[in-house]
Amino acid sequence: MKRTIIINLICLFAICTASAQNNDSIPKTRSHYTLAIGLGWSHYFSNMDLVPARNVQKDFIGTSLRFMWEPEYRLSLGLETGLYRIFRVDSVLTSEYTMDARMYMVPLLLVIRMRIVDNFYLSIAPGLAVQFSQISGIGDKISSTQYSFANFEACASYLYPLNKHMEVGGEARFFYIGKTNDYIMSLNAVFAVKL
Amino acid sequence: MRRLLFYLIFIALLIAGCNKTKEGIIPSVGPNSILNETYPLADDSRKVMDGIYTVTAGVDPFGDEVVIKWSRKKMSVFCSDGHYFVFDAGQLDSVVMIQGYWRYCYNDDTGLASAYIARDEGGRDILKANPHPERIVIRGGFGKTGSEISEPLEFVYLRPISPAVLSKHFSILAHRSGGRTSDNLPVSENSIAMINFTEGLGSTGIEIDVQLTRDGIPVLYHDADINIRLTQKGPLSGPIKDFTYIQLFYLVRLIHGEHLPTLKDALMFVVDSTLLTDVYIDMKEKIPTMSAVIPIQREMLQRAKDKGRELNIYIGLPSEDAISDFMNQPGYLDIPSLCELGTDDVAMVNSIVWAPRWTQGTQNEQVSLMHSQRRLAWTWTLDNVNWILEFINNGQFDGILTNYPFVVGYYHYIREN
Repeated sequence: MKRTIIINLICLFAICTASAQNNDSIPKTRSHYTLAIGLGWSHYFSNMDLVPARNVQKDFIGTSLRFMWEPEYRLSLGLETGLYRIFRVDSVLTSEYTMDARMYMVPLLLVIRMRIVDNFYLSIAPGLAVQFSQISGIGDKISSTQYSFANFEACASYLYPLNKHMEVGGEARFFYIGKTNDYIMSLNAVFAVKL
Repeated sequence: MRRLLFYLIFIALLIAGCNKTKEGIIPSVGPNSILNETYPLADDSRKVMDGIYTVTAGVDPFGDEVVIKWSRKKMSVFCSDGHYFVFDAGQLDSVVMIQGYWRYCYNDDTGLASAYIARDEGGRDILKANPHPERIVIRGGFGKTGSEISEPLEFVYLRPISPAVLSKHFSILAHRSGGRTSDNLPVSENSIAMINFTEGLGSTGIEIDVQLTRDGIPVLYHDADINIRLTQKGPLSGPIKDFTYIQLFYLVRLIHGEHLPTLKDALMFVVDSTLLTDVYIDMKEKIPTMSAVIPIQREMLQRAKDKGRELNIYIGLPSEDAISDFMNQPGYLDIPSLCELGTDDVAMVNSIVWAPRWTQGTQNEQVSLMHSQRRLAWTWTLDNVNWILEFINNGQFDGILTNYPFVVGYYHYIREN
């Protein structure tokens, strides 16, 4: 009983001491969260040995989604995902078989971004990627999923503030997928909202 | 601006660092080889050349003594430290002409080598297939990595390989159908091309990795998924078990361009086109695969028997799951198998071979127990020169699975008894 009273008193003192400081004396943080959505052109740098480059469709529409924590410093952290079609291969294998193979990729990246000058940012982002393959035209239509853990993205962004809460701009992104040794780049228009 | 430049350089270095390193390439003599003008050596002549040789030129890097051993079509030279030669040879006017390459297994050092045996220095004895040659001197040269042939090379016949050693059934088993892709060999692991290649490295048997396609066909492949480590870049990626064989056949090539072989095609090649005596089928799947593999094993054993071939094909039992699957097969006690677990499990499934991991030591008592039960004992996967020496000199195993069969070959054939 005695011990409980002492512990409660210590807690009370601690709370009172903490509350004694004037809130106004602490500068208000200006950190905030941002949600950015991008949509644009993506290009696959084909390095396939088995398929002639002319049979590989490399240009698609890709999307990105970023959630960033932006403290009042140059560095900010966040998570990024998106959906990219990496390639579509369409070719005739034999008189009996054709092939339609497609691969999509959903990255999940940890973004480290730095403001270089006003409104201009560079970021790097390691993380994982889920790759979805579909193949038809030869045997059964088959879907397959695999995970790539050694991936890397480099991105340059320009975001122009429209008002206190909204930004628009563009970003250029280069993405390396370790598992399949694939490279893509994308140019996206971006719309961001400060939460 | 300077900071921006710094970041761009950093990112470029990071991306460049992800690129694959350049693969080593074994040099080729080219189309103008002198061997084009020679005649093949008879099998009996080849046997005369087998033996232990003193190195009188080329001690650095090949050591004081080497072993020369002919396989089905290549003359191999095994050195003590991981260097080896693979030669083609032919005869021209009682002179034996030899050309090929040397390689060091622990890095990418390699170069061309060329030699001859003059008529009076053994050529005549070899062509007459004299089993007791007075003298054999192999003279020639070798090129250091990236250089033309410029260094002298000379081997002088010392003695034959001991009859006691030759009479033993000691298996030199090569990993992944004969060699690993990661060792920068000119053919891909788990391919028919590798099965064709591996005898030149000194293998007398092979281990192959087997898994099932979506439509239940056993194929040779090590990793769980199609990846750029083992295959050329193509439109297919994902687990092997997701795809049918016809898809894998048309849309996947191994790193040097070969198709993924089916187990049946691979074993048929072993039976029809090699002198390999042992095949260890390593089951990579956790799902039941025995019912697909055992009929192929049975068919190929019968095919070998019909051809009068000495060949053993063992189903590998690496786990409790594999043993359970195996014991569900009718007549499993009579199916030739290899068990990697304890000796009690070996007895339970009546495996012919007990195969513990080499890190468990020489285990001479256990190996003797296996021998007393008329079973064999192999160990895997042993690549270190010192440990290979330890197992051969102080162990009693009947075979060693290795990525470097030429090292095992050296220490096995150089024994006196």
